[in-house]
This record gives sequence, C-alpha cells and structure tokens, in this order.
Amino acid sequence: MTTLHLFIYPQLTDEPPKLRALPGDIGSRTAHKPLVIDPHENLIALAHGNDNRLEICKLEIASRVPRLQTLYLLELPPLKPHVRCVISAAEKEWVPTSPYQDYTQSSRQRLVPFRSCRVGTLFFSVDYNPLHSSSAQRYGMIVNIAALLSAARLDHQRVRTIPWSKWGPTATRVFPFHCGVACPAGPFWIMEDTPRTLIIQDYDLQGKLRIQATAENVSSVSRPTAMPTKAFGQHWGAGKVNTHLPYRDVVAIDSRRRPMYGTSTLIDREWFLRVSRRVSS
Amino acid sequence: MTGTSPHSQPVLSFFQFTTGAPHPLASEHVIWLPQIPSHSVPSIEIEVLGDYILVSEEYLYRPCPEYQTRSHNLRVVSWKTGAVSRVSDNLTFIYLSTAH
Repeated sequence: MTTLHLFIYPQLTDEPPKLRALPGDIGSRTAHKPLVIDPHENLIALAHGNDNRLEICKLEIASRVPRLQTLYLLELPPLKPHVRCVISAAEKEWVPTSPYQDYTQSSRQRLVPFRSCRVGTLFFSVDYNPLHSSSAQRYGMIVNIAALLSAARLDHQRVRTIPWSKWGPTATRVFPFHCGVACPAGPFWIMEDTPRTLIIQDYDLQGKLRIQATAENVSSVSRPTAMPTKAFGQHWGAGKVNTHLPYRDVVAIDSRRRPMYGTSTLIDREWFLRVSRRVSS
Repeated sequence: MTGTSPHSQPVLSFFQFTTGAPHPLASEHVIWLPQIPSHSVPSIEIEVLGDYILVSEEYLYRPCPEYQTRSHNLRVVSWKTGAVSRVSDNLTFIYLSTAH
C-alpha cells in the first residue's frame, strides 16, 4: 500500500505546515491528466504542480504490462520556501486527426482512422499559494513542445532533471492570467474573450495558418515578438521570470457595438463564431 | 465511447462516421472496459496513439475539506485486436480547494 503525504499550509498565516496523509489506495505519482504530445513516439506530458515540474514520459506499450517510462523531468521556475504550486488546468492545442489535404473522397476510403498529430504547444494554468487569499497568483504558461524536447535531448543521461534556466526561458511564455483556461484554436490560443475584445496569441510563426490582417477586418496583428515577457511574483525565488518564446498577438476590438454578454466561441480552423446576448436597458 | 453512470461499464465502439458500418480493421468493433465501481462516476477521456487508444478514467475524491484529488486509471486499448491492458502507473492529481 502506498501512502502519499501532502503538506497543507494554513490559509492566512505562515505557520509551519501540517502533515496529512492521503488515502493509501492512490498511486505514488501525482500529476494532472496525461497529455499525449507525440503519438508517433508515444510521448506523454505530465504536469506535477506538487513537485513544481513537468515530466515527459514514453508509454511503453510493447512491454507485457504497459507502463510510463520517464524520459525527462523539467523544472518549473524555482520557488521560495513554503510556496505551493498547483497546476489547475492543462490543455493542448487542437490538432486535426488527419492533414487537411486528406479531406478528399479518396481519403474517406482509407482504412486508417484515428490518426493523430504531434502537438505544437501546451497551456498550463499555474496557481501559486491558492489558499492564501493575500498572495494567491495565477499565471498562464505556453510551452512549445519542439523547443522543450530540443533542450531535453541535449544531454545523454538516462533520466534527466533539466533546470528551468536550461529550457524554460526559450521554450515558454509565462504571463499573469486571470481566466480559468485558455481556449485552443489550432496553433493559436484565445487568451481573452470579452464582450468587446478578442485576444489571440499565435505561436505558429513558421506555419501555414498565419493570421493575415486585411483592410476589411478590424483586427490588429502585431509583428512576431521575441521580446521577453517579464512576470514578477514574490513566490518565485528570483522574484521574476523572463520568458521569450516568439509569438504574435492578434487583437480584435469591436468598439461599434454595445457590450455583449454570455459569449461563447465556436472555432473551426480559420473561422470562429461568437454567440452572445445583448442586454437592453 | 458511452458516458458513465453508477454501475456502468465503458465501451469503445469503432464505426465509420458516414455509413455507420463497423470498422473493417477492428476485429472487435465493440470493446468493453472493466466495470466502473458502483460508488464512482468517473469522467473518461481518450487519446489516440496510432494503433492504440489511451483511456483515462478520472475519479474525484475529497478526502478533507481543504483539497480534492483526482485519480486517473490509465488503460491502453488496441483498437485493431480489442486487447485491453491497464497501465501500471496510476496518476493522482491533487487540487487544493478553498471550499469548506
């Protein structure tokens, strides 16, 4: 029987932590739901908020009992003592189950369904000290999988723990985040979807799905930026985190209309449909 | 995949979307997973890994008011052969909650 211990900190004080035990029938690994990032190599990402790190595993299917084989452990920004990190949401970008060019009559007759694609980016909602009302902070983190794996494969040890400084600044963007979860739209991420403003971050700077500004639309498309995002927070050991994964902001502001409420968004690759209701006074 | 309810049993079904015909490469186009415990109502997610499907059963626990945990049972299903294997590792996600 495995017993997992968890430190719980008092809500409003900095008293020494109390040790409590979780029920013994749960596993010894603590992680958010598994995210398949590379179906060709059976690679899976696990987010361990309790350990302040990400784990890249290979699902060993061929073995008699399938198991998760740890390949890399990637540390998140170092924390000050007694700071708790909780990853409250984890999402991966939307990827098609087959390439666009395969949507043809002939491809419909193919007998290989369920094909899935490599994932380009992940999103994590990271909460620090969520039980401390005075110091609770939430940040969003976009992780570029190719950059992450590139940094991880530089070393040749069997299982490696990679410090944040070796991979994080180049492979991520960390920014204050006030919503629950970002919404994926292909390689893009909808970061803010308010009645008048839609903010999309485009991390597919080399891809075919680049958003183009036209004379007709009301969007402003920024140039790709590699300028660091400086996020400040007292929970981090260094007091701040600098990240510079390149991306572009796409901002659509509709100032002509009155605010709409109850917005929901349906996305189908290039197009999105917003459903809202207008409140009359 | 069907949803789950108390005393339920998840089932994977492989059909062609346009015709509803059973998938010709699947030796068993309906695969039953182990029965769900009667006291649990997990949410189920699936991911595709080539010839296999990774099925994650997520169970929610609240062992004390301050936090809740979500435990994942992982299974690998070969959609061509119908073989179901349990992944040796279980995952537990701990989520702190301010609800009292």
